[in-house]
Amino acid sequence: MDQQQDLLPGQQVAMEYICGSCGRRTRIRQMDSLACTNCGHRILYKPRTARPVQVNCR
Amino acid sequence: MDEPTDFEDPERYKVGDETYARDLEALKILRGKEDPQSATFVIANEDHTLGNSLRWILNRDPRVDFCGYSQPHPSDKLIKLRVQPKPVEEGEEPVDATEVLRDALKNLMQMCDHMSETMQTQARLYRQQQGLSIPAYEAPEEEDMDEEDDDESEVAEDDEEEQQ
Amino acid sequence: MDPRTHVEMARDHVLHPSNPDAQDAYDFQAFKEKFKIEMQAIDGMDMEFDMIGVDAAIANAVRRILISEVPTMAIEQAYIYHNSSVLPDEMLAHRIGLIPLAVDARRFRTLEEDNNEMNDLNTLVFDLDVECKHREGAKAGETDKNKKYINHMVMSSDIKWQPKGNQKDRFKTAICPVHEDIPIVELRPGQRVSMELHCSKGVGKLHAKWSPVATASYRNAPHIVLKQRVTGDLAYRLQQCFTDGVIEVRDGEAEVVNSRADMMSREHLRHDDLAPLVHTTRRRNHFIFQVESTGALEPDVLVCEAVGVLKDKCSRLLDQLNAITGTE
Repeated sequence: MDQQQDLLPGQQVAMEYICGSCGRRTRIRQMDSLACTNCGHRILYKPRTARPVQVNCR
Repeated sequence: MDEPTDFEDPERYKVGDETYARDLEALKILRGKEDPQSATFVIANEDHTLGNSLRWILNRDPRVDFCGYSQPHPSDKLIKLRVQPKPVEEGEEPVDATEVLRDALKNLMQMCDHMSETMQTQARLYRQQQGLSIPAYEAPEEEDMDEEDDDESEVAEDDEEEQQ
Repeated sequence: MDPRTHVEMARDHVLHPSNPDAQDAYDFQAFKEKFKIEMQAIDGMDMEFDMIGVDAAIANAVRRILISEVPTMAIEQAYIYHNSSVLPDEMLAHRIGLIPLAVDARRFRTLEEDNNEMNDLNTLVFDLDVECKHREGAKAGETDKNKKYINHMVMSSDIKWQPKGNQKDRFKTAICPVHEDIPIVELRPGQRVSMELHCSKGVGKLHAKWSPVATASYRNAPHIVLKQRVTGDLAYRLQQCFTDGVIEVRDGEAEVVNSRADMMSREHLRHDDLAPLVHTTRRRNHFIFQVESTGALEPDVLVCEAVGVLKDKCSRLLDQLNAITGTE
């Protein structure tokens, strides 16, 4: 994920979410209603972080 | 008993290493009051591998009256080795347990040298006879290179980043 | 049968399990004379050899060290960028950690020795980056995965070494897993695994992935001796009681030809007429070892290393003893 440049509210940052039913990655801003733009399904998932995750191989 | 735990302490988050006790003294020698020659050796981070081997070779020493070992608990990474030398005749120098242990260790090392030498000789012979290649029995020589503290991984290091 | 050199198997107990006499004092010359190593076979990474003239304590120490205290290199940390496979991160990492690597661990230092600072002498870096895609031109209704997909199975061969520092000079041939055909995880189009893997030196005691042997084991050499002449039907029945090849019937008479092969089932002891005919014993100081290497080092090299580890343990204790008693 990109570094958060503006932590203070005021600006609307668009973030990607994954729709629960159609699987499309949707961009949602703070003020938008929570729904998939494609199918209207209201359950959205956050994608996996782009940061590397350190795991022990044991 | 311990220092107060510090949640910032990176040691706390190390992957569990219950196989090696870091806070024990490597060797402690316990003596009784009545028999100053004898001793119990409390050896940290060893198990039956060394314990039984030492017990066996110590019992082959004619100066030893008693020798035994135990692992008080498998979760505690230590063994106790008891060595009691035979009482000596009048006029003779008493033998101390540490002296006996010292000799036993040297003898065992001597045996090890002979064992690995023999193993190598026989293995080489067998391989030659069978037309197999001869592997490197000794660690390959490294040329003297400067130990560069190079490339501490360009990856995001220990971020304390747990999984999602 | 001499109880000093043989252990006898009876029906429900073992006779003289330990030497009934006091043992001789340690004498290096006597040991050298009696000690023998007899190689039986080396077949790839598996080896069988006989160690004769040591006590069980020492033989067992060698076995224990082979399994848990001879160092190896194995993948320890995975820095995962992408994992859209069906396996969770940690499961993938666990599988990858178990893959044996064809590297001589003696050429490396442990991270501990270097104060947990990674450098080119204590860490190996590998990359794994595989994405599965549809294969163009595959016909509809095709069932062969190789024809339908590209990279539908992530294999151990996909782990690619990234030389760091002076490693490319120290290692002329690329470092890779012992086996290139170990499946890691299956993928379907759109799924991807991408990670950087760090490999370090360790011992089996800490985690089994660092054990250099699939296993190492020994048994005491069997020694089967007929107490009397056995002929006729009894001979054939006796033969059946032992592993194939141990007893042969020649000219109607039973003969022990290969004690070594016997698996000591003690079947003959279940028959009242066969039990008294034969001694089933094992030689006390004769150990038949089997060492199966996972491939990093040859099995005979591993045994030499194991004996070296035993010597190092003694040496370390000797130093500690001298430090405390202030001598030498």
